[in-house]
Amino acid sequence: MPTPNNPYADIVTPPVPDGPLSELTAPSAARPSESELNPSRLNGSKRRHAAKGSRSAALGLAVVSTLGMAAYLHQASQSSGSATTIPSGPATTSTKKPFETKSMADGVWNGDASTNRWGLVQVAITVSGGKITAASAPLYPSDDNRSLSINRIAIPKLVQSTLTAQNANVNSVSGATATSESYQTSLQSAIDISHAAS
Amino acid sequence: MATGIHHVEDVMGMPVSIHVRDDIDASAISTVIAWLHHVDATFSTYKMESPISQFGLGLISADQLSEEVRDVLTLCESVREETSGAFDIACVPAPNGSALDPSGLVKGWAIERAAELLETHGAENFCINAGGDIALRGNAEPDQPWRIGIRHPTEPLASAAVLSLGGRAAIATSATYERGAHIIDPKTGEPTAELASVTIVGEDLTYVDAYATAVFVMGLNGAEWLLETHPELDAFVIGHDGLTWETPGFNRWRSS
Repeated sequence: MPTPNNPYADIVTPPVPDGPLSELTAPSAARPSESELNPSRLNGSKRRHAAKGSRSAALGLAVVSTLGMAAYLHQASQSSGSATTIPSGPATTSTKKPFETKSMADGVWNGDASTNRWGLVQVAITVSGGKITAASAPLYPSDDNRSLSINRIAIPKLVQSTLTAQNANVNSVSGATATSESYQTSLQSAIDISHAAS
Repeated sequence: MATGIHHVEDVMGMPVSIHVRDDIDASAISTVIAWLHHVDATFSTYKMESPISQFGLGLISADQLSEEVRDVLTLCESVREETSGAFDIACVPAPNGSALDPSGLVKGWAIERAAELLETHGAENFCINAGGDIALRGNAEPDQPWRIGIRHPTEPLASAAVLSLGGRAAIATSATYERGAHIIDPKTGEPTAELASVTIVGEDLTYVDAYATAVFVMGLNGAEWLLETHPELDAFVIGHDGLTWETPGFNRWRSS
C-alpha cells in the first residue's frame, strides 16, 4: 500500500515520456460514447473470459454509479483502513453505500464509467468479509478500432496467503531470477529439487 | 511423479531448468546443453574472447562475425526501433568494457532455439526455465497444462498469479527485486523503477523476453504500447504500491 512518502504513490499519473510514445497515450477528443462503447466491449470481454466462470464476468460486466480512477486508487490504498468518501452505490442487493461505512457489504460493486488520460474507465470491486478482495478498472483507449483495454486489479495484502497457497502446485516460476545465488532460494529451485529427488 | 528428464544447467550466468515430460533419449538434453554453452561462448559479454566481446571492443569487424551473430544483432536492432529505443543493446557499459550487450535478447532467443532442438528430438511436452524466463510446449501432465507462477515482487516464495499454459507458450518477467539488480533506461542512462515487475505472455520467447524488458523501461505507458502494437501478447504489470495491471486477454491464462 502506498504511503505519503512512497515515490510511486502517484503511479496513476506517470510522466508521459518524450517521443513517439506520448502520441500513443494522448487522450483523444473523438472518444466513443458510452452507449457505443460498452456493449461490444463487454461482449468481447465476456467471450474472452467465458471459460473462466463468474469471477471475471462479475468484475467486468455489471454497472452502477460514479467512481473515478483517482478516487478508486484512494480507496484501494485505504482498503484496510477507515471509511472514505467515494460516492458509489451497490450493484445488486444492498442499499448501503459501500465506501461510506467502515464495514463494506459483500458483493461486487461497480462504478459508472468515467474518463481519465487513458480513456473510459469503469471500476469494479469485489468485497468479501467486509474487505476488498479484488478490484478492476477495465479501460478503453480512445482508439476503439480494436478491443483494447487494460484491467487494473489490486492484490490486497489480505489475499496473499491464498496466493502463497497456490504455489503448492506450480510446475515452474516466471521471475527475474538472474543469479545462481537467488536461484538457490527460489521456488523454482525447490521445484527442481523435488523432481531430482523423485 | 511424471516420467521424463529433469536437468538444471548453470550456463549463461544463470540456472537453466529443463523439464521434459516425454521419454526421450538423454542425448536430446546433451544437445540442448551443448547449444546453450555455444551461445554462452559466442555471446557472453563476460568472456573477453567471445565474438560479441571482440566485436563490441572493435577488435573484429562485422564482416568477421558469423551469420548467427549478425542475425541476433539484426533482431536487436529491429526491437530497438520497434520500442522507440526502450530496448537498446548499445546503451550501457557491458561487463567487457564495450558498449554492446545483446544479452537481453540472446537469452530468450537461445531458449527458444533450445525448445526447437528438443522438438526435433521428439519431445512434445517440456518446459525450459532460464532464470525465470520460460519456453514451454505441450502439457505438464496428460491433459494438464503447465502451471506457471509469476513471482510476487516482494514475497520470493509467493506467486502474484498462477497461469495455466499449454501448447506453445513463452513467458518472461522483468523486475529488479533482486539485490543489486537494475534495468537501465536507454534514454536517460539511469535505472528505471516505475514498476515492480512486468510479465509478458506469448509464444516466442525471443520477443516476449525483450518486450518484457522494454515495457519495464517504458513504465505504465509500456503496457499501453504493447496493447496497441502487439495485441496478440498479454501482459501482467505490478506496481510498487501493489496495484497490478493486466491486458484483457491475460485473465484467460489464469489457473483455476
